Order: sequence, then C-alpha cells, then structure tokens
Amino acid sequence: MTIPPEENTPYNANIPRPTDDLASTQPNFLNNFFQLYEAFKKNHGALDAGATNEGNHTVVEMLEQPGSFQTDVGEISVYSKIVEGQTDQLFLRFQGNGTEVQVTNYQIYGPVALAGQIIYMSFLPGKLLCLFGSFFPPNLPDGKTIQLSPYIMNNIMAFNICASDVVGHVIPTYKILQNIPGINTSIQFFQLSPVGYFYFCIGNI
Amino acid sequence: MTFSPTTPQSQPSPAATQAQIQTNFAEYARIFALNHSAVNTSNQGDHEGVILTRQTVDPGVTEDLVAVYCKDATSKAGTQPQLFAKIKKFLPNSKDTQNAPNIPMQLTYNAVNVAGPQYQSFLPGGYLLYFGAVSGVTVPNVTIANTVILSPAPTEIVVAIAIPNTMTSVGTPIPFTVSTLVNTTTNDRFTIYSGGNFSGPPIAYSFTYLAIARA
Repeated sequence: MTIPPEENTPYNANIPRPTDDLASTQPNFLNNFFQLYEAFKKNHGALDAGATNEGNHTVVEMLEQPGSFQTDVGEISVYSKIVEGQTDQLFLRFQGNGTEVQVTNYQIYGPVALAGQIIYMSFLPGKLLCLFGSFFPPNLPDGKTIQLSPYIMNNIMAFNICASDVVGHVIPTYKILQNIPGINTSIQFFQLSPVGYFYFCIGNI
Repeated sequence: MTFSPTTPQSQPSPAATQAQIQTNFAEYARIFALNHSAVNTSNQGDHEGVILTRQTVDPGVTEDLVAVYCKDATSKAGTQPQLFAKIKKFLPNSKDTQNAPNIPMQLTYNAVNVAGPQYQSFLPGGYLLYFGAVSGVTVPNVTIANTVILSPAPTEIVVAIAIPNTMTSVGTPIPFTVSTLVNTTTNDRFTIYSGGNFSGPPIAYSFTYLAIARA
C-alpha cells in the first residue's frame, strides 16, 4: 500500500467545511481515510481484507481499565483490570452494573515438580484456583505432606483425595498447614496406605 | 468497489474520485457494522458479536492489557481453534518466586456434556473435567470394579477421584473403601475399586467421581 504523505497527520473530523471546495480538502480526505484504515486495522481484519475477514477481529486487546466497567441493561461487559498482587486480568460484568466476575485468575504455568508429587494448576471464574495431581507416599504413611505450590492460596474450599490401586482403601484424614501466615501451604495426611493418591483442591487467592 | 485508503490523490481532480469517496464512507460503515453496532444507531461502536479469526502466532503482551484471541490447539480429538487469553507477565514476585513466562492460556474446549449420566466440561489450561456417578449392588466377598470410560477421549488422565455414596444396610451407613486405577494404555478410562460390603449381605452402592485429563 502506498503510504500517503499525511501519515502523521491526525484524523480531522471537521472536514469539509461549507466554504471548501473538494479540491482544497483533498489532503484531509486522503488523510482521514488513511487514519480510519490504520485505526480499524488494529484488532480487526483490514477494510480491504475481502469478504472472508473484513470487519472480523484478529485479536481483542483490552487495555487496563481504571475501575469496574459500566454495564447497562441488556449488556455484558468484558474488560481487563489490574488485580492486586497480579497483573491485568480478564473480567465480566453482567447487565445493569451487576455482578463482576474475574474470569482469568493468576497465571497458568507448570509449577516446579516436587519429589513424589505431580502438580497441575488451573482456575475457575471467581478468583478461584485449582491445584490437582497425584503423589506417592513413602512406607511411613502418617505425616506425609504434599505442597500446595505455588504458595498463594488463602482459603481451601474443597479438597478431595483418592487412592490409586486395584483394591479399595480407607479415605485418609488430613490437616491443612499454614507454614506462611495466611497462606495454606501444604496438607498433611494420616492413615495413608502405601500406594499412590490423586488429589484435587479448590481455594481462593 | 472496495475501501481505498489512498484516495483521493491530488491528481486527477478529487471530483473525479467522488464515487470512490462515497464508496469509502459506505464501505467503512458496512464493514464496521459486521462486529459492532452500526454508526447512526443508539449503541454505535459497541461490540455485538465478536468473531475472532484464527491466529498462527501468539500476540506479545507487554503493555497493561489482556489479549483474547483464537488459535489452533491440539487435543485427542484433533486440531481445532480455541479461545486463548494472554496477560502481562508478573512473576516472579514476593509471594511467587517462580520466573514463569506469561504463556498463552487456553480458555475453552469445543465440547461439553450436560446431559449425563457422565458430565463433562473444561478447565482453562487445556484440561477436561468429567464427573458423574456409577452404582450397583455388592456381591459378598467380590471386589467392586466399575470402569468409567471418558467421552470425549482425552490424551492423558491426570486425576481420577471416587467417593462412596449412599451405602447403607437397613438404614445403617456402611464404611466403604475405594480406589481408582487409570488405564495408562488407553488413557481414556479408569476403574473404581472397592471392597464393598465385604462378606456382608448385598447392598446398593454408588460412587460419585471426578476426573481431570489433558485434552
């Protein structure tokens, strides 16, 4: 595409004026069309992309908003907002300035593997974190501890565990440990059998 | 005629390109309205449907923003476009010292099952969540072995948890043992094992289960 000479000239919403003839506002027309084209191309298929992609979005970049978004009746807002201790996260707000829900939560990555424990990490809308995986206790079952890494979970709301074997085992009891004040860091088990276990934990951060 | 960002030029006379100028205004309004409330409507500029075209690379997110986009993701079911989100990197920090990159997060999977008896949804990160219940009647001195086949079939089962439920004998709760074992050959099923009521009389039982798998 030929870059017109008015590349750095801002969009002018006030042309043409009543006294202008078309020839005198030609540079403004040209510049305005160019600026519309460039602005629309951000996040969208270009205006001359053809019927397949024109007008559709490529990426939706949502700039950080200073607060909760205004949502009228009949609307749902999707926006980004900074979360303390994290960075910008995706939010939903329901109609009529209704409930605001944090959709993304934290940053999914592969937590560092620990000896005898496999950790997976995900989240649920509502600032909830899911930690799950499996662990393999030593021969001394009482006191076996698994780590809730990363150590960011304030309150555990649900925890489930199940042995992995070809015969049934009693479901062990457990105790939640807070080795960091205010953070549920690990879980200690009692009455474990010397087999592997699956676990699933939901908490907030 | 399509939108032309290089019109009108100084030569020939702008009057000669009147048709293109008109086309540009018309095309802009038409194309803008494909994903947005149209100009000259009460909600002009708002988004209505947002169609995301498939991207082949992840956007770089270094500014204060969240990017949502569509990209192919591979699962046991094949390669299909899914919704992704990417946020600005914020690790390590004082609470989480891992220097983790802000990798793209897959938010969706292309199927859910809310009809049961086996239910299925998904978790961000490319995980499938399955849940439901199995039931039967115990046989004295015979181990319970109920195999649960997951659908859609995943790549790898990483969690399989079963909890005994509604096991009573003449109104008295019976403590049940329970275990699960994933079939790591097929990776699409696991078996729930239990001693049941051991040598006691037959009683009805059920287990609720929850499984998480990599799609």
